[in-house]
Amino acid sequence: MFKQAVKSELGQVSLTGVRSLVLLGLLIQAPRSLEEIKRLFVNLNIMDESNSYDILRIDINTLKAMGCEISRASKKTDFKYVLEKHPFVLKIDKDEIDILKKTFKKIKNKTDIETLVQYDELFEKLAGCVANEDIKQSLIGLCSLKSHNIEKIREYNKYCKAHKILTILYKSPASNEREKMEVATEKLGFKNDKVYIYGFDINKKLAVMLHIKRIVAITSARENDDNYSSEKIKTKFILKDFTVAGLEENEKIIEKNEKGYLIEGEYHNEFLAMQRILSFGSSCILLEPTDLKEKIVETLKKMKEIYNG
Amino acid sequence: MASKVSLKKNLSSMQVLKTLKLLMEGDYTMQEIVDKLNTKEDDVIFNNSVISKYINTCRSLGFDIPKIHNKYYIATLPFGINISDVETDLIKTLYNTAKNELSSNCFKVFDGLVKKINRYANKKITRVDKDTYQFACEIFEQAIKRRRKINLLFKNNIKMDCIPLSIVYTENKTFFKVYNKRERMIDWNRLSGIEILQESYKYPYKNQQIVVYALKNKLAQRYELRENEELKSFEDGIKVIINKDEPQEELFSRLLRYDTDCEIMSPKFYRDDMKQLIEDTLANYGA
Repeated sequence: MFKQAVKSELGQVSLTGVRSLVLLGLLIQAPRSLEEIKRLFVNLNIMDESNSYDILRIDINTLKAMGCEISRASKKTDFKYVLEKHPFVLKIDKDEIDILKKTFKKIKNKTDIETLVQYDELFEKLAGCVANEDIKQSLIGLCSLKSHNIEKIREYNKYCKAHKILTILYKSPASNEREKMEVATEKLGFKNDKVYIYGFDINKKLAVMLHIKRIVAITSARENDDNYSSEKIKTKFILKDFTVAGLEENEKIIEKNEKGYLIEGEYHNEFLAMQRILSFGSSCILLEPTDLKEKIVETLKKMKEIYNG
Repeated sequence: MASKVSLKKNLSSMQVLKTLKLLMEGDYTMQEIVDKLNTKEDDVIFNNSVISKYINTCRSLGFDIPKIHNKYYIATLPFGINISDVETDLIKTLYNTAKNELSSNCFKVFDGLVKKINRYANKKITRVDKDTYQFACEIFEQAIKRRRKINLLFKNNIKMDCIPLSIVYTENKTFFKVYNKRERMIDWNRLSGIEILQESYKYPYKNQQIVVYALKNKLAQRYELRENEELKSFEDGIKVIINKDEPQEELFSRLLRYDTDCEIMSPKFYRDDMKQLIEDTLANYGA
């Protein structure tokens, strides 16, 4: 972390200041015992072998006087001094974490998996720089993929990017039984805090979304020579306002008129299209496709029935 | 009763740490550092000489604290956060989202958070002078490579956020070619510092500045085109010349010499700049 001091130059600087700064840096890195600190100080040319440990104790007191909270070196800490808090650390307030959370929530569902991994790494890095344990945990809590195996995500993403056909052993959410599927992969997506492989089941001829945590194993991967792909559900709808949510990457505004925004959306399957349209509530009027419109109406009627009952 | 050692602390060390802490809170001049630190003390204990020593103490350990515009900047801390370009872009996306989609109060909080992170993030900032000239060029080239905007700090205390384009070497001078509303050639002698900003730029900028000017009378007859010039037309004794990529200051200096025999035709901002230059020059004479 620090460069070795040149003894001839030490006259122009405050040697005790040098020791304090180095000590601060060393304790930021890790808890240290007096022996360790002395050895490192000697290596850095800022202390002589013959000096007593009292010098280091005074340096520790100095840091404490500056507002550093350093726990006593005891058996409990393996006789190491632990820097609990210090004024040179990045301080993030709870308010700031809340706003960061709000902001990230706005974008995380629109963000691709690779970028989400990068966000996670950023939050973890920031967590590593703050001292307050609650704030640290809040930052780690922001990581969307924290409960996932990142290596697996990277592996699946590679398959999806190459549009491989995967033979997957999958635990079906309906039956909880393991089933073997052959899926032409299209993309790895993040939805409702879960990661899915979007693809086309080439045996059932269905667009599928496989929750990666339900994947038991991938037994083979091959090229998609026959260009299997799912047919997207194309919709047109009017959105009166954006109070409910922003648009997804698969939706675009075609025009704005007195009724609101005319939007074209493309969804992986009918289920997702339905979910999306319904989620807008009364702000949305689906125009196309007609059959989906009918299904939406039917569904809404059924929903209404529930409340009528 | 506590032992003597357990109560003893080192005052000089504390002063070094106080100096560092203050610099981590903001960029200050020597006088500001002295004043700010002394206000918290019972006696006047900080002065220019000790502050210099304390800053040198930090520097001796690898803290990069350049002095630019008479202000001390903490560029890198041995325990600072290294934010990569990718992470910078992520923060920028969050920042823009907060700005565009949250209330102004929320954005204010977010803005404060980003500023805090920036203070702890290790930065690329350097003083520009004869000793640091090479490093300044390296920083400039690094910014081009990383497609990051830069902040130029001029000796006259002006700051300019701009896009770095290239370094232009002429016989006697070195210019930093940048884009800020238009392309500009900045003589490095006018600078006191360069900082790579976190903001990236995406648009491809045309690197070449084309200036068209006309010469008339005898000058038109005898004028010999330079390497970076071509003749657009020569009619009715008026020679129209296309000049490419000549540093603006040098070109202006040359064209001023041609007085009324020369007129810049385009681009418009070059005409405006020349007009301004002439007016400023006139103002020197109270005209």
